[in-house]
Amino acid sequence: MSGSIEHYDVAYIGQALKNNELSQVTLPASSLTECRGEIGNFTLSYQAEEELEQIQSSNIVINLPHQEELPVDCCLSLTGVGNEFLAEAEGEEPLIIIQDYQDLSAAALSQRGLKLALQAKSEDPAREVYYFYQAMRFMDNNDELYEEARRQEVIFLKHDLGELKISQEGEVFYSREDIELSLSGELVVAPELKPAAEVDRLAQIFNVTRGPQGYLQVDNIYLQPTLSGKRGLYVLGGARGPNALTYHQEEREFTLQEIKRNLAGVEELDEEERSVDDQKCVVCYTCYRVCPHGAIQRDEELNSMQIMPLACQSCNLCISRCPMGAISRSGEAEKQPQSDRQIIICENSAALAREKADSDPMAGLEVTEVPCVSTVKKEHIYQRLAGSEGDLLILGCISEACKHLTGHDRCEQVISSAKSDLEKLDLDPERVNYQRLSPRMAADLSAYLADWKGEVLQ
Amino acid sequence: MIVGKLKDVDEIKDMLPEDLESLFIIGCGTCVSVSLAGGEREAKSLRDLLELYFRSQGRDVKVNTATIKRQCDDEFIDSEELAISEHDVVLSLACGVGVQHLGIKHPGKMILPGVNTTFYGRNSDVGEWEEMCLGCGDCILDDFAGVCPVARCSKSLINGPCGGSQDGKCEVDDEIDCGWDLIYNRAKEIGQLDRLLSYEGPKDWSTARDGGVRSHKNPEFFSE
Amino acid sequence: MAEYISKLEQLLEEGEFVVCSEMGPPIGADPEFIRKKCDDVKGYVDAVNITDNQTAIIRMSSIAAAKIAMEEGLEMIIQITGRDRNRIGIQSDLLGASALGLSNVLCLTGDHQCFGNDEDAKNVFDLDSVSIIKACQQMTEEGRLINGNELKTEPPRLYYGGAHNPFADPFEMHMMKLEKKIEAGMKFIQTQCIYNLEKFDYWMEEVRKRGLHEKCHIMAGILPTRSVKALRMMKKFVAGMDVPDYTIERMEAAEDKKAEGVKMAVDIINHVKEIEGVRGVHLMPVAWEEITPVVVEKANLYPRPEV
Repeated sequence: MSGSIEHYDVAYIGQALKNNELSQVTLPASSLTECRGEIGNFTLSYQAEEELEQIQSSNIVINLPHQEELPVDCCLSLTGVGNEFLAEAEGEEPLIIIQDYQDLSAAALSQRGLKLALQAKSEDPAREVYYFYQAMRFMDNNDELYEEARRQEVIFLKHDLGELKISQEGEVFYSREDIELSLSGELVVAPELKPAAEVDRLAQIFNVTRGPQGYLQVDNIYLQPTLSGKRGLYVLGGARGPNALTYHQEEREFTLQEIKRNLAGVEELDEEERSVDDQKCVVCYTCYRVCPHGAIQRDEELNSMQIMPLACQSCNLCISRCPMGAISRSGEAEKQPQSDRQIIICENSAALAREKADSDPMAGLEVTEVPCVSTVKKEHIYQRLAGSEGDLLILGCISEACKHLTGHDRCEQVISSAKSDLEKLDLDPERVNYQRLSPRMAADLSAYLADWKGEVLQ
Repeated sequence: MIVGKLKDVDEIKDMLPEDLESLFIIGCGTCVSVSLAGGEREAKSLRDLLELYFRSQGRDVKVNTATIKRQCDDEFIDSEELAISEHDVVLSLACGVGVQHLGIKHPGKMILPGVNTTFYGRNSDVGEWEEMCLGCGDCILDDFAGVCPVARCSKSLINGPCGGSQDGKCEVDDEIDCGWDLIYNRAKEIGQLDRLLSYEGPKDWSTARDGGVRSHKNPEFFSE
Repeated sequence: MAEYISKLEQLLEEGEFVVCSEMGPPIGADPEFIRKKCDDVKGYVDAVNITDNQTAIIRMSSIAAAKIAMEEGLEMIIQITGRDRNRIGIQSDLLGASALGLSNVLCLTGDHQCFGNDEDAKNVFDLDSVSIIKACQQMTEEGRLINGNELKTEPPRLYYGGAHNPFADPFEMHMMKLEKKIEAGMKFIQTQCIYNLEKFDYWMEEVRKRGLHEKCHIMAGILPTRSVKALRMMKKFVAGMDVPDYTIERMEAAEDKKAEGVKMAVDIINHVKEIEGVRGVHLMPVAWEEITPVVVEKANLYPRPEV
């Protein structure tokens, strides 16, 4: 069957990126029904005419426009407006550009606004141009454009100092201590930007972790431009975030470069093998739902969940959350804790911070390095407490540094539940400690550990 | 699916006899595993927590676990026959059905419940479940646009919402969606609003618990 | 008189603008408590509702309390909810009420028990407001119980009504339920208390469009208050209440809160009196029952007609 399915280097959901080297296909977001497989070998099902069809692709790019909401119906959008309408303008009417209304706009809109203002002045130097903004955002030659606009006598009004209101009829009212303005004219406003219309469905189809405001990219410094949490899936434009408007050039370059690199070969991220015991798996989808990387799918033949080896980023979160203990990894060996001062650290943050510290802040502690602290189960915590009289410290990541997106949150959920159970049995919950760090916080790590050791020794 | 919730560990602790020497915790591998209440994961972490507790009390109590596929069917329980007989007390993490089924199979054994069986529900988000059905024995979803007024209205009203529904929320709690608001919206969506205008006489509850303890037979397996 | 089941029915049928009020039975067994309350309103109102464990707080039974009040010369309306009794209990109590001469019934679904002090009680809700109305109708007009069985002796003489909240969502669904109640035989309704007049006007407009005001008598709910706090509490905590900000602001601005409370109630009465289809008012001054006569007088509704 799969032999007859067309395979492409990249499948675009929405708009394709200009490129001549890659074989590509473009599918509308609304037609998409399912995505199976992983980087190098995704299978996408979509509704074509009457029938359900499939294609395969090595990479997937979601590139959709933002949804825009304008404050009033009668204004033009600063994102979409061309400059053609200027020539048709009556000339008498002032041009009113509002760069920031509800929110600050991306730098790209500063640029567009300034260019529009200059264009209007060049068409008709006598025309009044008002430019409302809260903060001028700089990129490329925005500063030159701004200077030029000032010279051309564009009237700039910084409205974080006063109050700006647009009436339903499109009249603009501006007041501050020394000025009271009521304007009407050709109105161009930066709209409020929202995630692309289809992102809810797409998040479900691709099983990816959502970021702030519902965009498909998590706010996380580990994610380079356009990387989603799922390997081989890239999110651009209105699927990624409000600032994507400014960076479409970078988005494009980065994405194409990554795709080309993937096509040269993709390897598993570690050598360990993770497998699901199909006899134990009850197909509850818990692993599927918690996986931050969309790396799990159901094996239809075995009726069991299955971890896709290339997509898996080795956090082991699925192992810690499986209700049936059906997921295992090679190299998994529980060692009996010995020391009274045990510490479980994330290899992506605390372990790196430890390396950067001047002297080993963890000297004298029994350290267990884990791929992600979300690996920690309540079971582990109790076993460690039972194995010694001492305390247990778990060092996870701050949100922006968590390579596994939700890993730190999941760990915190487990720890707080374990602490509350300990409390219910009059056992000391303070024996379990949790702290968040970034890989750069070597100094904080040393200070925190010194404090902790001090307390524990008392 | 039957949804359950693991009991608070202090409640479990208080159930256990003071002279307990060995405890066998049995998880159940179907509904309560899926609802993350009584599967192998819960059984093992409960074992470790209780061991920690007994040790802190200076008590020597042996705690073991096993998880079987379904505690509500004989055949699955058989494999743990020996282990059950070797322990003083069994703590079952199954729903109320499994706990009692174990009791029927082991008349002389103390079988304790470790899970509160909460409702028949759906998984609404990871780690989150919502009540959908009451098991009333006489499904009337066809009359209510596919939304159950009996299970999803806090008063089980069948003739329309009470005066306490506001902004789509129930008077009992803002967190609860008004079942009638859901019925209304769905009925409107599928063009069945007019059906909600007909008077519904008091519901026949004889098919529910109210008619006495229920049991039924599949006619294909029984001759008259 | 003979053709009317009750004085309330007679007044409504003869076109009087009716004034009702509300009384809560004691949390205890003291009949004097009720008798004293009767003195306060006697002569100022045409009928008095007696609540049935309102907000799920246990009080003396509404039928027993109503019987005591009736002996003091008041026309009573017993409230009956589906929260605490099933179809057996409710029909039996309705027969009993009628036998005691208590004919006016207000059929309600009832507040959920979570509002009272017995959150852990099992609720019943076997009959909802619509089916209690239907039970009244079947027993009174057909001499039959809900189960279809015929009554063995005289059928009860019941004059039955219901409640409606013009401010509840979704509006259309609540209108449908109102129509169902009327279809089930409801003779009169008392509305949720009104502060938002625009919304009430809109609701009455919809009522008239459907011709519902010709099928049952509508009494507007009025709740005089004397503090900003009470208004805020109602806005926030009472399910289905619509207290607009301007009402709260008006109370805030007032120096004499009590006088303003009375004035606000009178203003609302004067407004609803002029609306086509409104046939009376239902005063429910929670914890301020002594103000009822004052409001009635100030609204020029005193004296009440004799029948």
